Order: sequence, then C-alpha cells, then structure tokens
Amino acid sequence: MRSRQAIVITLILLVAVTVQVSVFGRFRVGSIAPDLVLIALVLTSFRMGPSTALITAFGCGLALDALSSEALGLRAMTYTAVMFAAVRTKERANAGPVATAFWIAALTLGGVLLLGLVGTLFGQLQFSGGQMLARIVVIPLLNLAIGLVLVPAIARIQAPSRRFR
Amino acid sequence: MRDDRRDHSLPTFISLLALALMLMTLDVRSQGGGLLGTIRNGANGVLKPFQVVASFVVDPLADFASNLGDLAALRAENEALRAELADIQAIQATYEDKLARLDELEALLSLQLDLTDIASTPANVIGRTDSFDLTFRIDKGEESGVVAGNPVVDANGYLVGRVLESGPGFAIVVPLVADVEAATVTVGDQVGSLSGVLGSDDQLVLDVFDQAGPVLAGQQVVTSTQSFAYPPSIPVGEIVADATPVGRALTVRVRAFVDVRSLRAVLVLAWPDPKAAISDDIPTPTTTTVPATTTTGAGG
Repeated sequence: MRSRQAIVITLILLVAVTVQVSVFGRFRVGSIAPDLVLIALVLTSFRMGPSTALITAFGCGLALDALSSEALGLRAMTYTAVMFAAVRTKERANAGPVATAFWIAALTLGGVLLLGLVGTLFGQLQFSGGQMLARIVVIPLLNLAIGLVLVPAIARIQAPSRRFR
Repeated sequence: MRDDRRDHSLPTFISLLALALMLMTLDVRSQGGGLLGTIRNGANGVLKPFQVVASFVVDPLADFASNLGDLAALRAENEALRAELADIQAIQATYEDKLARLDELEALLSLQLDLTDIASTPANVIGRTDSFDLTFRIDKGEESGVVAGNPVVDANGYLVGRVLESGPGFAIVVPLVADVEAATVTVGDQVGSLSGVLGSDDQLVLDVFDQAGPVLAGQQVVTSTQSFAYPPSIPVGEIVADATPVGRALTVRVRAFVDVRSLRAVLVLAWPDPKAAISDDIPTPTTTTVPATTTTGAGG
C-alpha cells in the first residue's frame, strides 16, 4: 500500500511538472502562470511525513531548476521552505477546502517572495519593477483560483480514504 | 510515507537549505558547466518526451483560444496589412526598375555580391519553466547541429536570442531581453550595445558610447556588422521614444519586435559560419549538419 501511495504521489508531481513547463508555457495571464507544482506539493504533503515531504519538495524544485536557466538550487530552496511552512501549519488548513485554498495562496505568496529575494541575492532575478510586483500579486491569486476549483479534490485528499492510503 | 515516528523535519529542513545554497553557489561559480551541467542535461532529456506530447495536445487548444481572443484585433490588423501591402506593391514596382539597373551595372563592373547563406534549423518551442524564467526549450539539439551560441530568429526573421545550452534532442534558448550578454547593434549609422532590462519582458536598453547622435522613436535597430555573436542586419526592435545624447553617450529604450511568450517555432542559425570562422580565425564550436533538418538562406 505504501509503495502504491508513493507511486501515486510521484505520478501527481510528474504530471504537475510536465503541465507547468508545457501547458502553462502557453496558457498565461499576461505573461504570468500559476505555480501548479507548488499546489501539488502542498496538497500531497497531507499524505507524507514531514521529512519525506521536505525531500520531495527539494527534489521537485531541483527538477524545475534543471529545466530553467537559473541557478540549480534556487527553486529547490524555495519549495523546501514553503513545504516546511506547509508541514508546520497544515492542521490549521483542515478547517475546510476553501480555507485550504487560501492557505495554498498564502504559501504561494511566501514562495514567490522568497524566490524573488534569493534570486536577487544570487543575481538571477531582479526584485523590483512592475513585472515582479505583478508576479507577487498574480501568482498567489491564480493559485487561489486553482485551489478553489480543486475544492472537491482537496476535500477528498484531506478526508481519510482507503484508496489513497 | 507516514512512517516518520519522530519529527526530524527541522534538521532535514536545515540540511536541505544548506545543500540548496551550496548547489546555487557551485552552479553560479561554474557558470552551468561540469557535473551540474550534466544534471541539467539529464533532467531535460528525461522530461523532453513528456513535453513533446504535452505540446502536441496543448498547442492546438492554445492557438484556438488565442485566435478567439484576438479576433477583433486580427480584423483590424488585417485591414492595416492590406493597406500596407498596397503601399509595398507600389514601392516594389520602383525597386524592380532599380534592380534591373543594378544587374546591368554589376554586369558592367563584373561584380558579384557576397551573399552569405546561413544554414538554419527549424525547431519547435516545447517548454518554459515558470513566470520568472524567460528562457525556453526547443526540440532540436546537438544531433541537429544546434550548439551553444547559435543565434535564434523567429518566423519573420526577427532576432529572438541565442542558444544557451544544447543537449541530445533539446536546447535552451535565452532571449535577448533576458540575456546577460549584450548584442552589438546598429541604429541609423550609430553602433551601440543592446542589453536586456531586468524585470522587463519586451524592452531592451541601447547604449551608444562614442560620438552619439540623436535617435527618433520608431527607428529600427538591427544587428551590426561588428557583432561576432549574430549575423549582421537582423532586425531586433525599434526605438521607443526620441532621445538625444547626454555628453557623448546615448542611452535609449528599445522595444523588441519578438514577443518571447508567444513563440511556437524558431529558426536556429548556424553562426558563426564554420567556413567563415576558419578563414577569420574566429573560434567556433564543432557542428554536425543534418541535411534533412536544415534549410538555407533564412532569417536575417
């Protein structure tokens, strides 16, 4: 059972990474796309132990780093930090699917700010200008919208289920 | 997965942060080479098949949605293009006469124009990482003769950027608007340095440092004959607003012709031309030309 769950989570994350780099490479709001990988990571954290969740987040971030032109480790660090916040606060998000969606948006906001800040420190990004401000505002909102659309799925993942265990 | 009896999340978190910082430092210092470069190539190779399938499914849907959204704008653009076509046909008529005259003069002087055919490789854009990264991946790589440094143009022949990395079956292209390396360009009779503006998707900044003169809004910026990285005369963008030099230097914003976010296919140019590079003693990467995937004379 445990290995089956690991396979399901791996598949979810693989699909999220693929959709992120291909589908959201075309479908964007302005030039800004949601962060689907972060949503998938946060949601799957409900079914993983804290350390496993952190290592998984690190791996996903590293995969995205490898696919980008920016420094290897930038997104790995961001996702790990977001996941750490997620595993420490996930009980509070259990108030309901809508609360979970807002929790995802808040974590996304933290992730975007951290990515911009660390990226700027390492000379990979510029933490200023209208475009960055737009990203800080729009990416969490897009993730909130996706979170709200995924309300039934969120409820299903949060509820104890034999199938997903 | 839920078997963590004790919570080791804090030490794990700190270890992973330290590892990420170490990786970033190493990657920045090694400039993407070495073992970390190999890891990048491996990850791109693994994900490429998924990206190709996703592009195959997504692109028609994205085009349909995009066309619906742009319907009104397309009608207006169509009208404008018709008017422009009429003007160009009138101008073409005058040029035909001049070309005939040029042919005669060349024949008289036994001149032969030195036209350089540049081999080009068409490639599909198959992926972008996220909102922070303007680079994109294409589905042609080393096996098609695409190597790091090759210039990339769009279907209209406008300059997109250059190949940053190339691997088996893929390459990463960095657009000029996001490139840390400046391009040598010409506007009017002035030669300057054109570089990206951090945080902007479509604007560049042109610096002319010596004997600069004023420039006008709408003036076209093209790659210079003095550029080693790009072939000459490839259109890049246009001056955003009138500008006059301060002292001997001129700094002015340039709007890029290419919308990097909407690119679906590009042409990778085999530049520097291997033959020219040998004669000019310009170092050039080893290329493998695959005749089935190359065309000549396009772009720029």
